[in-house]
Formats: sequence, structure tokens, C-alpha cells
Amino acid sequence: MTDATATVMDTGAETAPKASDQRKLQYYTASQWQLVWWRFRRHKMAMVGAGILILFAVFGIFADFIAPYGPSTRDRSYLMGPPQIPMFWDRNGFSVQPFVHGIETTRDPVTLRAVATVDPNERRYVQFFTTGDKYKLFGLIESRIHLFGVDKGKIHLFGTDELGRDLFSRTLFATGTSLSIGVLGVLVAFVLALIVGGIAGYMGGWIDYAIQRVTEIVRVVPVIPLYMGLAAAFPREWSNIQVYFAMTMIFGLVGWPTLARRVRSHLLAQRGEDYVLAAELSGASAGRVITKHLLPSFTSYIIVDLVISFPYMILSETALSFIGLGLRPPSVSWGILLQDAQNIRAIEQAPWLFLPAAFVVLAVLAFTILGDGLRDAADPYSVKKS
Amino acid sequence: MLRFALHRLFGMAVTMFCVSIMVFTIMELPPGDYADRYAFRKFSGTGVNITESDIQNIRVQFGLDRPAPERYFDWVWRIVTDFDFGQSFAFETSVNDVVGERLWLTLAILYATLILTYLLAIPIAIYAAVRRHSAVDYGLTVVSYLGLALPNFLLALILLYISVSTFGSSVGGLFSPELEKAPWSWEKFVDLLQHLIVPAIVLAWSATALQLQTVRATMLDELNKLSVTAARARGLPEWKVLLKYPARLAVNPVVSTVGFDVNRIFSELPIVALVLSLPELGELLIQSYLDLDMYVAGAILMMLTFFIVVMNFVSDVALAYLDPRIKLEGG
Amino acid sequence: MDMEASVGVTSTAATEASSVLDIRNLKVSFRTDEGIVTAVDGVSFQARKGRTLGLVGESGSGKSVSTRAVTKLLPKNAIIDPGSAIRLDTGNGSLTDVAPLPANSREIRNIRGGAVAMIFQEPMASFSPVYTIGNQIAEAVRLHRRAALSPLGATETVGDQIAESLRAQNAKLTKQEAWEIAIEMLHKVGISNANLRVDQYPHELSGGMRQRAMIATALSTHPKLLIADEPTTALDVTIQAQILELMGQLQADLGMSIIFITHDMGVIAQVAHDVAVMYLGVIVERGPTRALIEDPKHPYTEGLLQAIPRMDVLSRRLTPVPGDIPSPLERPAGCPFQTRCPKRIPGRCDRETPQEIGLGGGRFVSCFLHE
Repeated sequence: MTDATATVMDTGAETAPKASDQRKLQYYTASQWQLVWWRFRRHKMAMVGAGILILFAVFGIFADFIAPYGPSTRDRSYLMGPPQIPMFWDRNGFSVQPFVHGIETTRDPVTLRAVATVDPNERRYVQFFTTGDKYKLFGLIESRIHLFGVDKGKIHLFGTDELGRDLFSRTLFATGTSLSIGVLGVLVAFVLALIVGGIAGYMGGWIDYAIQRVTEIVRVVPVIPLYMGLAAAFPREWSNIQVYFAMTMIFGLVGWPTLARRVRSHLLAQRGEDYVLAAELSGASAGRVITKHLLPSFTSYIIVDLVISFPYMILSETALSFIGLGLRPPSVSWGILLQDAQNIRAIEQAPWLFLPAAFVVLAVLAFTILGDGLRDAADPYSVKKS
Repeated sequence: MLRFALHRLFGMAVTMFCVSIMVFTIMELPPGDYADRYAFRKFSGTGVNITESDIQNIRVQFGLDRPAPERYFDWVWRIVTDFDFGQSFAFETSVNDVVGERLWLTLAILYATLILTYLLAIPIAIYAAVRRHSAVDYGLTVVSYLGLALPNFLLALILLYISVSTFGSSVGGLFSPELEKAPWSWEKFVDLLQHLIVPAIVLAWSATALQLQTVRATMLDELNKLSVTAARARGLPEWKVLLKYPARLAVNPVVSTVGFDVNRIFSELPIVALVLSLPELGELLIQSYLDLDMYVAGAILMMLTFFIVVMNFVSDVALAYLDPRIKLEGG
Repeated sequence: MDMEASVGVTSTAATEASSVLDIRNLKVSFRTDEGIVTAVDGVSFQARKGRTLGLVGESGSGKSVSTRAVTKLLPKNAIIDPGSAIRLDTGNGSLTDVAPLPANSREIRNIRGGAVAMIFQEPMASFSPVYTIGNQIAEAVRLHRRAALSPLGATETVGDQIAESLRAQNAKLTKQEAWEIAIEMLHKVGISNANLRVDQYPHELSGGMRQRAMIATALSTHPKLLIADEPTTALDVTIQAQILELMGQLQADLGMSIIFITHDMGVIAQVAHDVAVMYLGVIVERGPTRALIEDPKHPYTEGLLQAIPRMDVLSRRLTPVPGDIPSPLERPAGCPFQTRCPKRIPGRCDRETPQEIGLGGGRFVSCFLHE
């Protein structure tokens, strides 16, 4: 920040205020959040990460509308079918409207298995705002309109699974489930961490000691085996909704001590600062000191911590569902979709079942890069590193 | 130093005590108890009519009618005095028999992973920090992001896919089929080492990514220290300056996070083991959770945690040895 | 050209003979994202045997950079202008130009800690926390002292000893011998129980003691030139006085030359024989300390002197130099000090760059007021 040290004492009165001085003035008078935003904007990768996450969130929230089919809708004519990529031309010529080829299902005369073969002469044109399965957006708005579809038959951008379910649609629904578990888990952890960590950091003493011990224990027990142990206790007769919320609870319950530790150490570092003493000396109550002075001083750090803890939640959910201890079909989540890709036979015959993994990787990558960008932006003294 | 070590040992015992309470709670969590499951497993489908009083008899027979705290102390006491973790009902034998060799194979995987992680992470990160903005440095950034984003079990699946599609053979397991049941021999040992490579790569993946970042950051920090300039000003050759001063300190955070790495590896081990079909504790843990064979699960959870605690202790002591400033605080 | 000429005036045969370091027209710049930034812009000064040169200036004036250029301890993006000459007595009594030597060369390494030793502002940070004091002193000793060298305090002069040591390329000292020298040096810088202290870690010593140990490390190799970069700034005033006294006494014993970098005119008045005042990469005024303090010629020197409290005129208000030193990125045109100068000549100082003018008595100033 060379502009911060630059002199404003320009004794030469005849020199008119320069454009750079204007910029400096803007810089000096900007609020904390403006500064963070300016710095964040310069971080191109983090902006990309934020973009990916927003896109995923849109996918998840409007899955009913964007997905051409429901998560359990089966296409019996296309089992274990490879992805269909819309194209503009084939050997029959060029078309302005993208299309996919038709499918013909025949039985293999030897194994008697249904085999889908592509009919290169049939074109299925991609259309937008088509009418399809009925759904209720947010459980409220009833509709049959989907973002896209084909004029006849079905289109499977990511292919289908053994039951002929559209993998693209299922991935969109799974995105919603997996991200929302992450969000709720982080929220639960955050609220607990803020309360307990705040008390521990501000009060110190035995509360602090007790919380330190709990944190210590959670730190030594391997996390995923612990989650698995808690998830194993879910009664089999629980509905998927119950399992869903139970999972967010255990992520929150196991996740809070780490966050609380961060809150605590931020608080301890800030508590010794002179401005806190000044506030206390002028008669501010403990609550006021915490909410008006301490919290704003590290809100940005807390946000970074939250963003960074998302990937762990998402990966944990994926891992648990993957081994069959988390969500259970017919729910769809990234972990459940990847269950199908668990055995060698499946990956050999249908490698496209791996596609949901790309979503997991992208989401975690986006959260990590976003967290890094926010951390750099949130630190008012950060010098651009690396 | 001795006082320091004793102090830490005491802390370790306290932690293990708290952990044991938590593990026991988890063991008690699933609905129904051991007697229910025992009766169901033993007699379902045999046509024998089981009444509530039969189950009560089983319960008394196993001492399950006693209150939880009493059973907890009994459980802990047996572990501490006889190293007896109780009975596995799924295998109908003692937990110790079920665990058996898997314990040592788990440790073999753990150490192979740790060694691989540190052999890769420390030199590469130090090199990247010294040659900042070089190809290695940028490569490191990419790899460490990928290491965080690509979950280990997915990496395992990808490796499986590659091995099946290009080599036509699976990389799973820890032994070749013909040596699986053979008694221990040099040949079997070499076979084990060969089979350890893939699980070690998969498990070292994210640990290496994290350590690369940590070591690089510390090294960059240390490189700017005045003591490094002072060493240069004494005329020490550059490579000696780097090795003796910043690199020496850049290893400290690695030593202090060994326990964390072990935790991470154990955390990811079960799922990786499932994908790669490794006969070790993690795979057994998943199986016992699915079967609700809670004594086995509890035993494994205790063992894994115990190793993490021990590694934490080792790392504390090693750090105190490496960094003279710590002894002063530790008391 | 004028700069060269003015240097020529001082370089009489007598001073030339006793010069340990003779820097002429040194220019150092840095490649940065914002372009090339000149940190030192044509600086000339000499350090003489047995004498202390004080380099004064605010932070960012280029004092540290110009001295670190001698041992090439500069960041990798630094460029020393090929027109610069850094002539240094590397041990054989005559001056050789080290400016063209690459920073990683063996010659430069031999100079570092050998002919030229350095001490720094932060005595805590100058030692690595994980090695004992003795380890770090012995390291320097084993790098530069050879077995043939007589122990400290022998009748020979330091120069002779080093010359001899370089002639006789004898085997390195053993660790034991180096360790003994370390103890001896700690004792010499006034550390009691030196044989115990040598085994201690830096954090176990007090700030003053650490700076003594740092001096011991620097002097353990009998350098011809000691560059002290603000060695007392981080210390208490009483400790500062002790360290200054120690340095003076060691200089008298060992006869080395000292370059003392500080921003504190008060300290300069105590320790330096000669002073060079730096501002934004140039020397604005230089000369013998007493004359310069009693009668400053450059408005910046005047400003600096007015900013130090004096016991004899306590009622006087201290007047700071107004404004901040400009960033090297935004070098003003003309005289570098013109943006803050109370005696600025409008139309002249902001257009032309003043050249160094000899005032007689070894005094030089770069200011249009003294033409």
C-alpha cells in the first residue's frame, strides 16, 4: 500500500488536485466493507469461484424447473445410456436448432438385455420451455414448464443410470440437497460457535477451560468415523426428511468446536486491545462491548472461516451417503449418485456415472478459492502475496 | 524435558478418558440393544419363537441389565487391564479376534502414508518457496487446490478406473491373492509394500496438499526473517543458509501437525478402504456400523483415537526438542 | 560528472590510504510491478580506518540500501547501476571494486562477515531462535578465521592478521577452537559468565545482551568495516548508551571502521566522526560531525537538528520537518527535498537538480542556496 504512505502535504498550492488524489480520498473515506469488496474484486479466481457457487445455488433452488425430468422419472427405453450431446449437424445436414439422435431399444438376442442403439436418422430437436412432468416450485407454485426438453422422446445430457433415470436431472436435485446440508450444517455450527466461543473468549475462566477440553476431544477423534457412528444410530424407520435434518445437526454439533476455537482466539486477541479497555472504562456493558466493538472487529474473519468450513461439510455428506450411512434413496445427493459409481463394473461400463463427482470437485474448489480470496480481501493490512 | 513429557502424558490420559465416554455413548446410541440384535440375528428365520423374557435372559447373561455407568466402567476396566474390547456379535467371537491382524495393517498404511506425505511435501514446498513464481511454485498451487477439492475416495475410484481400463487389473487389496492366507514371509512382506503404494498415494493426497501450503507459507515467512539476512551477512553459502535457518524452522509446523495428519488419514481411511477393498480397521468399522456391531465399532474408534493421541504426544515432545522456546512455556 | 569531480577533491593521498570503503556514484534501483524504482541515486562517501561514519536520514532515504550494496545483501529485484563503484579493502590493504561481483560469488561471500560485518536493528530477530548464541558465533568464526590467525589481543594489528590469514590458506578451525573464540568474544563485549551464556538461546538473553552478542558475532572475524544498521534503535536509552560506549571502545581496540546508520541526530553527535545526511536516495550534506552540527548548511539538516531536544534550551519548542518523505515512486522533479523545503526557490528547485558543492574543510552540500 504505497498510496497509504504517500504524502498528502503538497505545499505547491498551484498544482491542482490530481485524479490520483481523488482516488486516495475515496480510499481513505471508504467503509470497511467497501474496502473488502474492492480488494475482493481484484481477485479474479475468487470471483470465478463465487460465480460457480451462485450458479450451483441457482441449479439447486430451481432444480424442478431447470431439470427436464424429476429425480425418479425413468426412461425405460434408455437404460445405462451414455450422455447425449446436442449437436447442430450430422450426416443428414446442418440444423439451426440443436438436436440429439433418437433411440431405438432392442433386446440382445443372447443375453436378452435391453440395449439402446442410436438411430442416426431420427432427430429430436431441443426446445425451450417445454411441458413435462408436473412439479411444485418451492412447494408452492405448480407448473409443468421445464427450461428445456426435446420434441419427442427424452434427452439425457449426462446419460442415464441402470434404472433409466436422467443423470443430469438427478445431479441438479442432488446439488440442491448437498449444498443445503452444507449451509444448514454450517449455520448450526456457527450459531453454537458464536454463543459458546463468544462466552469462552470473553469470560475466560472455567467455561473457557471446559470448552477447550471439548474442542480437544473433537480434535483427536477422526471426524468421518465419528459422523458415521452418529449416523449409524439413525433409526431405520426415519423418513428421509428426518435423516436430512439429523445429518445437518450432527455436522453442526461436531463442527462447532473448531469454529468456536477460532471465535475464541479472535476474541482473546482483540480483548486485550486498548479500544476495548476504553469502551469498558466509559461504562459499556459486556454485551455492548461484544456486539458493538469486538464482533465487528472480526466479522470478516468469521465469514472467511465459515466459507472455509463449507467444503468439509459437503465432503462429509458425500462420504457418508456414499457408503450408505447418510441419506438414503430415493433422496438424491452427490454422495448417493456416486454410490452407483462405487463398483468397478459400473465405472467400466458407464463412466458417465462419475459426472456428479465433477460437481463435488467444482463446489469444493470454488469454496476454497472463494475463501482464499475473501481472506486476502478481509485483511485490511494484507499486502498482495504470491 | 521429563517433566514436560509427564505433563503431556497426563493430559493424554485425561483426553482418552473423555474420549472413552464419548465412544461408549455412541455405542449406546442405536435403538435397541445388543440383546435384541443378538436374538434377532441368532434366531430369526429358525422358526424359534422368541419372547420378551428370552431376550431379558440374554440381557442378564451379557450383563446388559445393569445401568449404563456400571457397564461403562466394566468396559473400560477390561480394556485397560486385559486389553479386552468385548464381544462381536456379528462374528460371534471376541472383538480382539475380529480386529486381529487388521490393526497392524492399518498402522502399515498409516506410516506408509505419513512417510510419503512428508517426503513429497517438505522438499517440494521448500523448493517452491525459495524459487517463488517458478513453474514448481505455480504447480504446487494447482496441486494443493486439487488436493483439497478432489476427495480421496474419488481419487481411489479414478485410480481403480485407470487400472482396470488400461492395465486390466485391479489395484485393490493389500496382498496378492495367492499370498493372502499365507504365513508371514519375506515374500509376503515385499508384496505388502507393493500393495501399500496405491493406498498411500490416495491417502497422502490431501495431507500432502495441506502440508505443501503450510510449509511453503512458513518457509516464505522465515526467508524474510532478519536472522536469515544476518546469516548471509556472516558469509554462509546460500544453500547452507537456507537449510540451517529457514528450512529448519519450516519443518516445525509439520512436526506440530502430525497428529492432525493422522486424524485426517484415519478419517478418510474407511471410505478409501471400502473402495480399494483394504483389509484394515476402517473397512471393518463401516461394516460394523452397518451391522450395528457396536463393540467392534467402539473398539476401532478407541484404537484410532488412541493412535492420534499418541502421535500428538510424539509431536509435542519432538517439537519441544526442535524448538527451544517451547520448553520454557510448557513447564 | 560533477559528482565524480567533487569526490576527486576529497580523495587526497592521505585519505585514500586510510579508506576502507570508497563508494562513488552508487545507484541502486528495484524492478517492481510499478516499474523501476530508484532507491539510491548517485551516492558517494568514504569510510576510513578507525573512524565512524554516520549515515542519517528518515526511513526510505536509502541509507540501508546503500550500505547493503557493499555486501550485495539486496533483494533479488535490485539492480546496481554499472556506473557505480564500490571500492573496498578486502583484506590486502588496497581497494578493489566489488560492484561488478555477482551476489552469489565466493568473493562476496568471503567479504560478508570477513572484511565487512553487519549488525542490525532487532537484536532478537538477528539471531535464529533455534540455535544457541555460541553456535551462531562459532559459525562465523569457522567461516572466516583460519588456524594460523593469532588469537585476539595479540600485538599484531588486525589488518596484518587478516592479511596473514588470507595468505596462509590454512585448515578451518575445529569446532572446539571456534567455540573458545566465541566465549572469548562474548567476554570481550562485556557479557558476564560468557562460558555459560554461550550455551544459551537468544530468548534467554535480555535485549541489551543480545545486541552485545550480535556485536560479538560481527567482530569475531576481525572485520575491517562494521556496518551497524540502527543497532540501538530498539533498545532502552540507558542500554543504548552502554552499547554505544562499547562500540567506541572496541573500535579503539581493533581499529576498524564503522558505518553507523541511524535516524537519530543525537546518537550521531555522540558516535560519528563524519556524517552524511541522506534524503530520498541522495546525500544532501556531508562533512565532519562537529562542524556539520554546529553550522548545518542544508535546510533538511537544519530541520533534523531542530527536531532533537536539547538540554540547554528546554523552553524552545521542537520543530519537526513538515510533511512526509515522498514515495520513491513519486520522486519530485528538481531537488528531492523541494516539496518540504521552507527555503525553496520557486522556479529553480523544482526544475533543476542541485549538484554537490565543496565548502572546504571536508564539507559538501547539495543545495542552490550555497552556490
